[in-house]
Amino acid sequence: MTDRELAEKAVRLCQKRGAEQAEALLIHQEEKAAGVFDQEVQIDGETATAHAILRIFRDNRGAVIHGNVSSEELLESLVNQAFAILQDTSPDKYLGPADRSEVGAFAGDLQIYDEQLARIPLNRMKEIALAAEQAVKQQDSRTEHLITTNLQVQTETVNLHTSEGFADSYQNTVATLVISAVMDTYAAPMARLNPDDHKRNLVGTATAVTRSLDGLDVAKTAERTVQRLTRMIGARSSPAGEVPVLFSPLAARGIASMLLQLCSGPASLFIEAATLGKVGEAICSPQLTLVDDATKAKGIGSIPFDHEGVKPTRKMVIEKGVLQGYLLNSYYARALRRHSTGNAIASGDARFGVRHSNAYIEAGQSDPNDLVADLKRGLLVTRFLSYSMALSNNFTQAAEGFWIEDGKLSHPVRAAAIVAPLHEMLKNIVAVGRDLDADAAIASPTLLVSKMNVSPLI
Amino acid sequence: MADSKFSRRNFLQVGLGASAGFALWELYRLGISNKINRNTASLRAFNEIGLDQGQLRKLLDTALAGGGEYADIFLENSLSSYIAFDGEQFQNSGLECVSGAAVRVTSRGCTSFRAVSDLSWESLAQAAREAGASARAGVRVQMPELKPLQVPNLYPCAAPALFESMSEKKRIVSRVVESAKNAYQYVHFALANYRDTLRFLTVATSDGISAYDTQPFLKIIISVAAFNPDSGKKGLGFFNGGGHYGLEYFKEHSPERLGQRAAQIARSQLEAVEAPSGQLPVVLGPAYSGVLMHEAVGHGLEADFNLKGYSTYSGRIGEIVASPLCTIYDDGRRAGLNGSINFDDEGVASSRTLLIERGRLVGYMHSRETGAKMKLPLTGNGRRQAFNYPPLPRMTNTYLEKGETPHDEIIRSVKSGIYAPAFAGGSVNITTGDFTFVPIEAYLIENGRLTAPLANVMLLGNGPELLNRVTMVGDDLEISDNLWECGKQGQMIPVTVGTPTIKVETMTVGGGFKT
Repeated sequence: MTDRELAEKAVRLCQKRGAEQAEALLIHQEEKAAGVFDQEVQIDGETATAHAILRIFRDNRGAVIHGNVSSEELLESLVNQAFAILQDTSPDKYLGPADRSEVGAFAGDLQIYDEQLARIPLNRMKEIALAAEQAVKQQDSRTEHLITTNLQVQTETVNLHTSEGFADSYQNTVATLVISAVMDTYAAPMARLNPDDHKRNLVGTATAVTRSLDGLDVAKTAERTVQRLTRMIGARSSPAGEVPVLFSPLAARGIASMLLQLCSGPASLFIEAATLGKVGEAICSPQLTLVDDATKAKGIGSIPFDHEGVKPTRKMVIEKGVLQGYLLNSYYARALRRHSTGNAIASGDARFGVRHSNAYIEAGQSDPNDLVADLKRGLLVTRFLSYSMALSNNFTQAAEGFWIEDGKLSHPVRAAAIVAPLHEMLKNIVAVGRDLDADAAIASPTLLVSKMNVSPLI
Repeated sequence: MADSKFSRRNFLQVGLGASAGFALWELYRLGISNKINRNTASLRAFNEIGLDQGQLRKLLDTALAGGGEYADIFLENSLSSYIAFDGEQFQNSGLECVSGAAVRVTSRGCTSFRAVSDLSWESLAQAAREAGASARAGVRVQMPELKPLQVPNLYPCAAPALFESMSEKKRIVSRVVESAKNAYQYVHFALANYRDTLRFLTVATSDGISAYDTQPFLKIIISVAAFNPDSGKKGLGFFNGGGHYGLEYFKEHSPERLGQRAAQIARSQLEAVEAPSGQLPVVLGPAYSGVLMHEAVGHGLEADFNLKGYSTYSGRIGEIVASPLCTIYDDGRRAGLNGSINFDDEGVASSRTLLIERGRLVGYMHSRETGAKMKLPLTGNGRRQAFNYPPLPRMTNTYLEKGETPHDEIIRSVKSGIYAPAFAGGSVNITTGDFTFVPIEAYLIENGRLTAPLANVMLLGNGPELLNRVTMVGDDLEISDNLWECGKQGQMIPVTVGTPTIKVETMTVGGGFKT
């Protein structure tokens, strides 16, 4: 029985048992991985998993069952159990499948499946991982011994069948290359405080994610690894004070990620909606426009339909500082009296979850080099050290980067605390760089915040 | 099992014939309808879902047919049920089944790994052939007979919660939410998420081990949001509990206490003043502050990082790395705790591993790979999130051993500093040892007394430096019964942490607006 037939059968079974609506999502994943350390292949692996998510609705109640499906008997067991637990949930008027008027698949070719990548032999993956290690060594011989590369290729086949008449499938591929390099000649002596910050182990890591084999740029990833490894040589404390803070594209992704979290259906319903503001209100600087685009060709987050069968769209989340809407699935759309934005992701919760697709802060007009040159004093943040807690009145993070003095990068900063009230920080974004690299699932250009409180952490 | 309508023989026949996943659902159905004996002894009789000794041996032979120094099979079947309650609605109710198998072959320092969710014999045999295909010929082990691994059972579970009625679980989450909402007037939202799991594992290795395990598990997480409309301040509180228990857990750990604790944490944020920043003495409270040990030290002592030379502790065995007041263990053998395991996911019995002894580094935590490559004894720390992930050296229950100083004396010793009793987690750079933590509850210490709760506290430091600055260690060791999930290379596994009260002479405190 094909996956499509299995999904169709699952939905029929659910309806036969008494579901008012039912959905069957079948996901086949094949993953291959190759890991290399010190020119030796350490691990190669392949996994093949099949996962089914059944969602049923009756009397405004919903239940989800998920599990491996390898036989029709198993499928019947899954269906039986779904009804057994349905009675344990409370009625919720917002529960239900996607609105019929919103379901559908993207008409064009999103180019998210690469046959060459799907069929890549493990031996070829090992060659690429070894080549990545060589590429790092060629860039910087100091990393002779401590380089790890991991290449993972995932091929996914998704089938969705719903009682409302939606039946479609797609395949996608994604390759992830991670290179880590450690500078061992700077090994730190132990057990005593060492004021000389040159003498620390340094590590640089870069990740490349792409939909196709041709899109995998080993040399560029190796270059980024070495850049991140070597830029912190000589790092020391930052001065303290209220100064402008520049966020590099990598660091600014964290700000984009936080905004996405706060502009999603679950956050808007269950956390104080006033965290940012209401739709139609200015919630941040007019320099900032945040877009979520599920229709981007070869986009890491692109999908022809979401997990409820809703057609994906390109949407403005924030336009010139004004909140335009939230990322929504059908449940949160009904709760907020809006339309689904096609951002549903299946979860163990009958409401399903919400995820972004290809999200980015639009590029501005400023040259990032000019932004540095125009600052008498400031901090350029290249990486956040702490994990983000978006649900707070304040933006509080630990970060590393470079101190800026008289328009130039003065010295690397190992760890600084950067703090500002969240609302103020967002409103004080006074410049946006033109250096947007939108290849990642979340991307941002350089951002300049006019003032934040900076203090040394080390 | 005189009262069972479905004999063990029938059950295994069904399981082997129709795939282990189906058998698992049948077990669940029989269990919740009270048709099988629920006690642990009976459950252990159902351990052998899927493959018997002969079949395991055949698969290992297939995996090693082309050469190879070592092979193992890992078979997993687990079933979880869950439900959530937000004070008005029971939501997020469902069941999750995970089943699959993995075959590994090691040859000349390289591991080949194949994992499948299709548990048919054909699929398993194919996985074994493919895993063995990469092994270079010429190295062939003589496999001994498989002998069952005998280890004490660390899961003091009277009856798996999975088989208890959902109405009982609904009562529990209701009590948690009610107590949170009643604990503080400004609590406006509380959510309790409950989940229980029954996991069956089979591990067979080419060095002659066959091991079966039944792991019952439950967890409950309470999230509380508080808001004071007069001040405009918001607070978030989180708390959780559970481990390898059945519902009897809630007799010793009342649902009311869980809800009240989460509300208390949210309240502290509403009433908090801005934290000072700078180099300050910090007192870390018992139990939950052990997460600092976990992050600042524990990860750096996982042997794979040290094998590669990535860790700040690489090549340092025998050296003084901490204050002589510090003795740190990783102990997978504590009954019932979140990180406890009868044996690891490579069939190695769990152990109590001494990592740092009175300040001297004495050991790392090993998987089979690192133990073999570093030629050191195995410690039972080879763990994986699920069958489709390779095992890595991971922690279990990591804690700092108790000292001799009473808690109150440690607080009194601080003229001006911070007391941090609760953390949500943190992050660490394994290579540099730098870590950051944000306590979810912290208080100012002034002249030896706790005064105001603090907001926006960030603790940053370096693991080895932190341990060197420990100047007082309390006599009040507690292992947290919180449910910690540790992430590494995309794999999440349950662990726990512990510590007595400790005083760190100075730590970098940042994040507040006051400097």
